[in-house]
Amino acid sequence: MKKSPGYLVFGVLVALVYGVASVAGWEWGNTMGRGPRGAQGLSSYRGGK
Amino acid sequence: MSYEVSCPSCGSAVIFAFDASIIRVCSSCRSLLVRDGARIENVGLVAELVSTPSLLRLGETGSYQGDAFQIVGRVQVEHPAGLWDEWRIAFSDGRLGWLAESLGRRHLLLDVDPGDLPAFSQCRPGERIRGRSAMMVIDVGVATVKTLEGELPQDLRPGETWNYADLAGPKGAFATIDFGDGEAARAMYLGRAATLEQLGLGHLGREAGFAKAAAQALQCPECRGALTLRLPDLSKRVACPYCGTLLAVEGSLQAIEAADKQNKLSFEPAFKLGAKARLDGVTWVVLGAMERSSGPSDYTRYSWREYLLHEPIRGFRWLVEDRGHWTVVDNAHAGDLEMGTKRRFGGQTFRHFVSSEARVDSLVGEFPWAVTRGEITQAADYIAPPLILSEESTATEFNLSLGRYIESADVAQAFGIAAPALPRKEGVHAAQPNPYQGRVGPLWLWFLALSAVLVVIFLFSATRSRTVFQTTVRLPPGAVSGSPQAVFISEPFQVTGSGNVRVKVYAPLDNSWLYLDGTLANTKAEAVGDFEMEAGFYRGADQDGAWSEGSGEAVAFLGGVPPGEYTLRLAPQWGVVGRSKRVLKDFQVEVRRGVPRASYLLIALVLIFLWPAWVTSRSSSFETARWSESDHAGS
Repeated sequence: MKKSPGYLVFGVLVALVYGVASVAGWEWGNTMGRGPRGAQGLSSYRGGK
Repeated sequence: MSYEVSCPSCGSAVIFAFDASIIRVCSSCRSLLVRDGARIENVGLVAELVSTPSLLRLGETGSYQGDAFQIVGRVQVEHPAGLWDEWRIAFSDGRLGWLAESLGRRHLLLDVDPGDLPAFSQCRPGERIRGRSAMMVIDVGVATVKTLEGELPQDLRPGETWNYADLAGPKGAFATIDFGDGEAARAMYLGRAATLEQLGLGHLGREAGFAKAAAQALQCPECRGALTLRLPDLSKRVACPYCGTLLAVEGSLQAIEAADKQNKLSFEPAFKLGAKARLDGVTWVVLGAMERSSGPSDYTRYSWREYLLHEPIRGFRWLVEDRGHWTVVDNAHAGDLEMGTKRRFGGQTFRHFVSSEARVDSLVGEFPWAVTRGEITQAADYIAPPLILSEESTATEFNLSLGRYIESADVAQAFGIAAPALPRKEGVHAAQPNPYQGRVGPLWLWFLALSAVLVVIFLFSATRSRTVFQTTVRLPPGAVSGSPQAVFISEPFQVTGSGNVRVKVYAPLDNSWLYLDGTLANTKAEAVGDFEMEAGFYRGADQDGAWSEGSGEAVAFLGGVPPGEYTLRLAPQWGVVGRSKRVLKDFQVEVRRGVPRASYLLIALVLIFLWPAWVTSRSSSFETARWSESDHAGS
């Protein structure tokens, strides 16, 4: 590894990001947000969109 | 027991110091005296000695491997390559030997029984001989006695010739076979290369300070240009840097002649003659340069340039430039070469690279052998980057040299010049070290290790995954697709732990589809996430037979879902295609926490795969470029 320390750093970073993302539940696209809806908001859904 | 006589010619006292001595040269008048018992015969004068750079002298005593010897005589021998000094030595125990000097190298050889040796005509350079199977013929030719000095145990006369073969054996062994003027071996001398220090003669080098050969100035007989001969005692050919004429040098400049008036410099040397370079801790001087080439025709010849460097103690070496790439080349002991498809030398295995006929095209400066323009040798290169082993052979000679690749920046630094002043690098050199060498294997090992870590993370995540809600959603009878009546809202359920959330549905579809507009909402209005899902399953038959596509399953992932109480809202739309009569009545829903994504694992694996794959590709491209110049291109 003496000749490729960069790769080890890169690989460990990828593993770290993947590990953290797995544990934290990162997802592309569908992400929870703080919205005006909730228990109250749901009532508005009862009538449909 | 010494024997003193008066010289029949000049009357000076002449001493035969050794019983075995048969001839002696009178040191006063240079008469050659032959002893036959008590009778002394004067057979005539011998020529004056030719000035050579030898540091040895008659009467000096040394020792070899603990045995003392004395230098008793000297023969100046003319070989095809030039004049050599061969010093006769007598050991205190009565053994006799030779100290042969050539181009600053010395070999100590002892008289041995020739035994069963091949005939002279069977000694071919580059081949090993029978009898002494480990020894390789490196030089054959005819030697001529030019002149003599001191006393010798055999009757040699100026002008006398004999056939000889020089051999090289393992571990520095060297031998010469003397065939007389015929085919059968009459004497053999066996030994090895030795330095002055190893011979107990180191003081001669120190006394001389290796400064004997002072440069001499002379004039080109063709163009009257001023020439400097830096090694007047060694140089045999000088190519005028002004008019290109190749001059032959005999002895110490007594005779200079135009040997080749057609020699026109075909290249611009990278260094001036006399330029100094600091390489391997030693200062070398550029003596000469030549351009050589190989190839099937004058239009497709491939040329390179060789610079002859000299250093008084280390001798000669070459600096070779080939398309802007440099190698430092030294003579190598051919006896240590192990032949085969691959060559073994110095513990290294060399692969064949190219075989060719190498021709000297033009030259400038001075050379210690009788080089000629148009001189052709059979050359074969074997490589073990950064080393290159070169075999060059002619009908009479086999020469082995070992080159080492050197960066052009190091060459520039050695000469104290700017790197851009040197020719620009093109392509990949046969001996150029692969910059990715030694990286590919470890990279793949690390790739495997990192992959294992990623898989462990994936499996660890999988073990923590759990279902937090599941149910079967029944569509109200008569509900219309997309209508508010069809909307499903779950009872609150707890989402604990960490990780993503996967919503998975399964519907019994048959040529029908289900689309879901979903919302996962925290009951305390802290978080909400929308998603869409679609499942469809279709089947049928055509001229190719039955077919089907899709499935009744669909998933959606939500990230950043904090623990808490949630409800799930699903607004479904559905439909059929063709003449399907299947009515969708229900579908299953599962909400699962912390589901590892195989696609993300794949992305991570691809990311860490790219680096070693790129390095492997570069390494492979480098080797392809290297071997494209070889005899094995494309194989």
